[in-house]
Amino acid sequence: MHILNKLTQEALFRKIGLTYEQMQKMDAEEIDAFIEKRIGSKLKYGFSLKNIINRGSVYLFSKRLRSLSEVDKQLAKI
Amino acid sequence: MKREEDIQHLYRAYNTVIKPLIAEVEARTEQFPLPLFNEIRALHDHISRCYCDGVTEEQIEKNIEKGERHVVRIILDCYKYLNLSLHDSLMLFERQTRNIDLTVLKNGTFYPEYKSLRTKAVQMVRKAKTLESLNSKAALDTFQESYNVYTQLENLIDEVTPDVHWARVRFTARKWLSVILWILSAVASGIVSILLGGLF
Repeated sequence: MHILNKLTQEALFRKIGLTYEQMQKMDAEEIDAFIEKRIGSKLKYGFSLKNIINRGSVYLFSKRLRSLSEVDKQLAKI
Repeated sequence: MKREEDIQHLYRAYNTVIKPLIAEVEARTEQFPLPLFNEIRALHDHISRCYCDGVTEEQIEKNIEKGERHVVRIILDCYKYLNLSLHDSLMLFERQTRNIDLTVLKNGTFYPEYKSLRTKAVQMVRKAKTLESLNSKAALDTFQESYNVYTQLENLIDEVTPDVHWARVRFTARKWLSVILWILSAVASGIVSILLGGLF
């Protein structure tokens, strides 16, 4: 199994602000909330990762995913 | 029992490698990386199919194998994105310091160190890309090494950021000085030619 070496763990701590051990104990939502607090804004949905081609979903590839706030707006019109 | 161990292995890879790397992608880009989450859905799908009613041992084995391939793809994508993001920040630094003499930073030690680390990082990314289709484990290790070199470069840039300002001031002062000297020499040569013209 691939493992993250010491240098990577230190780099993660510098950028995220959480230790490697802390991240393993926290759930994904807690980590996201921590990052949002640190950067001072909400995380946005990123459809494409720069030059990396999306795999396995035509919705991702064509950027056709709808956010829940949009769905709520449409529902309110019904 | 073997099946349980294999599935545990997949979850361990998620918790110890994928989750921290995705957090890093989020911290750097301020975005939820949907393509990576889509891969996680695929991984989870293969794991859940191991628990379907009437599933055979052969099907379980196939699903675990496919799940392992998704784990490798997710980690590869995380590294690719992180390397790309760090490379972009280097390009930005180079654009911003295009008119600055970087050789004066850190008593002249910054630029040679920066150049050698940059070359090393780029070479490693190229090597990892060629390894990707041949040996995924070696590709992952090489991508991690290039990521480590890029983060070293990032630290190096952070260290010299206050000095970059002074280097910029020095560069501008030197530029203005050369302009003033050029004007003075033009004026002086004009005066000399007028004086010589008056004499002859």
